[in-house]
Amino acid sequence: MNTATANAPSRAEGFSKPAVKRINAISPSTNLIVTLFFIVYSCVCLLPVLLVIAASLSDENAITLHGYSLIPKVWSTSAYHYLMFDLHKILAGYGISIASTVIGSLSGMMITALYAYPLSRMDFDFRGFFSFFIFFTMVFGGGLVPTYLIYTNYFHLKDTLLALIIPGLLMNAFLVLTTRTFFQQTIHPSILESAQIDGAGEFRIFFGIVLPLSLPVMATIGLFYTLAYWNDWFNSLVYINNDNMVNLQYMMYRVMRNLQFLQSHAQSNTTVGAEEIAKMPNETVRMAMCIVGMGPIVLAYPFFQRYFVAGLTVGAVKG
Amino acid sequence: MKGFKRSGLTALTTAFTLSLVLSGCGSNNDGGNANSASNADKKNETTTNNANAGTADTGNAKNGTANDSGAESSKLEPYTIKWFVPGAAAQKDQSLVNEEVSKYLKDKINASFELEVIDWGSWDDKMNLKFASSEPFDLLYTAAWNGFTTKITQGNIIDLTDLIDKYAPDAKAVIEPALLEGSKVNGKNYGMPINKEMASQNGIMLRKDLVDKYSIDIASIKKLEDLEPIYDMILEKEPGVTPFYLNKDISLLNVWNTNHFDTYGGSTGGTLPLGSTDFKLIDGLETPEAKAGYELINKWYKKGYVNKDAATLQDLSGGLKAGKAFSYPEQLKPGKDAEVSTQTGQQWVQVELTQPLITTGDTQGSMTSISRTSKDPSRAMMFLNLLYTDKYLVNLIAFGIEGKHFKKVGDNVIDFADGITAQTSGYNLNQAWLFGNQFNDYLWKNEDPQKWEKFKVFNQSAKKDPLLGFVFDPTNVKTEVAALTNVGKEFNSGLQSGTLDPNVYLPKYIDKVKAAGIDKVIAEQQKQLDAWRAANQ
Repeated sequence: MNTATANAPSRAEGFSKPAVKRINAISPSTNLIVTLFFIVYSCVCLLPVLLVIAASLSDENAITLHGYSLIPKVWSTSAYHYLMFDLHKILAGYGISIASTVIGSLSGMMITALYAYPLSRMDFDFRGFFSFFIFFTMVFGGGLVPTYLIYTNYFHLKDTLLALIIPGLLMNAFLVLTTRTFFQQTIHPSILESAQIDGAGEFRIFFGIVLPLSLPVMATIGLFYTLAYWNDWFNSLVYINNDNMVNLQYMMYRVMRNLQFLQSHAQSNTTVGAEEIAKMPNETVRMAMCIVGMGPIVLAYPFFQRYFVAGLTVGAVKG
Repeated sequence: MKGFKRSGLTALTTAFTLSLVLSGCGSNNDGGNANSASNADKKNETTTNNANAGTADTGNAKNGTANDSGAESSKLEPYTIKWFVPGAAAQKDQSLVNEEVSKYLKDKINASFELEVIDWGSWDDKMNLKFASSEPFDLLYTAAWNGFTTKITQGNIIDLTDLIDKYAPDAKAVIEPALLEGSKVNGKNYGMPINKEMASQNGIMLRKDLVDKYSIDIASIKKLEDLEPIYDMILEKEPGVTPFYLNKDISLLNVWNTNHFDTYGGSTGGTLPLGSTDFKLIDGLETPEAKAGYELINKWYKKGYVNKDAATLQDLSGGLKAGKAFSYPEQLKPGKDAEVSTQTGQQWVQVELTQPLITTGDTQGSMTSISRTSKDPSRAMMFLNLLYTDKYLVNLIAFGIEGKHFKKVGDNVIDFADGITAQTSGYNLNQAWLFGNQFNDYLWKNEDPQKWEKFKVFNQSAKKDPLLGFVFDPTNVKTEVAALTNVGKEFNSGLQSGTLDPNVYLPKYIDKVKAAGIDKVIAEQQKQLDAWRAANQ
């Protein structure tokens, strides 16, 4: 893997002996330091996750008495047993999360590409207007209440799956501009020209030539959209009242929010407070929920990874 | 039917015109016809002998004759009463319970019923959005600590004073007068207080097994200092047990300040010295009494009575469940120890260290208000009237369906239905304090059978806070209040857990509070307080 990538450019430059040290290669010691740094950095990123896993597998009282540890002092799977009670709820939440992520990401990618492509074409007359149109949304937003009014009273999205897909997530202005730039820089106008000469229509050019050449950027925005959809709890909070329609993230987030809310008011009210807090799932259960919620999204990145490695240097114009 | 409708319409029109003429076209935008009818009614009270002011009949406002309720409900248009309350989680069988309530209400007030539980964390956001989008609904939970005054100033909840008199006289007779009085804002009721314990008392919870083991005489504990020898003994004989367990939000200061001040404002407002007659507010942090309180807890911390992580600990219950704590401070009411024992799995006994006190925060601790978006406030009020007086209804809403969610094991005592536990029950909201009249509630098997009697005695014995009914409206000093809250966050947990030395940090605290503008806030409070006293004497 390592040698292959290191050799790829050297072959292109006409060297034939891989053993020869390239002129501009970094020294082995620097290489070692950089590699070590990233190994440590990866560990630092992984540790919290491991800690959460360990906490979810330990006994509640042990955590209270001894604090967190990477290896549980007293093993217990009671937190997961507790979650089994709500299994149908969790599975429903998974269903909603997966549905909104898949539908949302695919349509989001499509809409983004379809908006960005005309903006990248120099011969499109209204380029300036439509670029400004999308840029404007990045700078000014209507705020929550007007947005809520529009989506609930005019589009009637309340308690529908669309409410988890459309508001605030379906099209990201920043990603549109990113994609446009990619099209401008990577797709040479001469390709489009030759396709036109060969008789391809606009749609044929877009789907047959531009999109296949743009897999890296599509993978990038696809990953962004997937993460955004998977981690979104806000739309569930605002637009969903039906408890069977909320997604997994919100289910977990709700517990945290409830706790924060009750704790922040614990002093100032007599009725609520400690009694209500005591009803909340305890520490280990919260950790277990976290692990359950991470599930599939951990696997998403490796899936996109191959496009990042494979594609970024691909061109189509002979120099 | 047709004929009736027409005559009803005539009556309504007449009532409406009358009311317009009589009330001098005063504009009132709560519930159109019901309101105008009630206006007409009020005007007619001088002429007709209105012994049945409680009869619910909008279409027939002019003749205040007695009708039996069956005939009445048929005259009312079908209506859906929608009610939002906050809670731990939405209940699986909510719709079943709602159906059951609707069936019951059909004959009474021809209404169907929709209760929706919104979880605590999204309660504020969701309610704000509902008001912003003018979503039609009738009832909601309100409380002093949950933006009650804000909801009033924004006009989101309506004035209930006349509605209560007209449509809920039976409920009014049931509610403790001090509750109804104390929950008034500017002399008007914007919320129906839940009839329950209306005072609060501060004290200490002690672990029963250790109290028994060392045969501690809890009757001899009269003030905080009496605890010291006991704590010394626990420290010595029970290693691993924290004598006085605190988190970042609670402290012995609740007891201390209640006993040393009439009202303690701390860092966020004015303080009323004990026995003050001129109602002059001062900055409480500068008083020697406040300093003495901080010094006491600091002394306890140094002695090792308090857990070391007190200033940062969020959640107390974990430590209580794990048996780490011998005692901790708590807001008390009769039977609080039994409640906490159920929650934590440890047995506790309570020791009261202050006398019961009725404050505005208690009387406005849990209320039901009517939204400005309600299409028929009078019907919502008729429902509330039933809720406070009808034992079957309040228990159905609070505990679910008999035989399905709970079973009766005594005259007034319930347990989970067969084969159901707290976790598997489809309706276990367990928040009876949200609904109407708690004195009509069934009691769980593990509760004190005398609970409600004790509550009544407790309510009777409570002393009224001199500022009962006064609510400070912080609108004019919003910035200062926000700044003071932040200063409080910086110092409070450290000082009240005893972690920080008050000799060093209290002066700093006072300086920062001064810089954040406490004097301006106190002046504003004083102004409102004087106006309130002038209006209420």
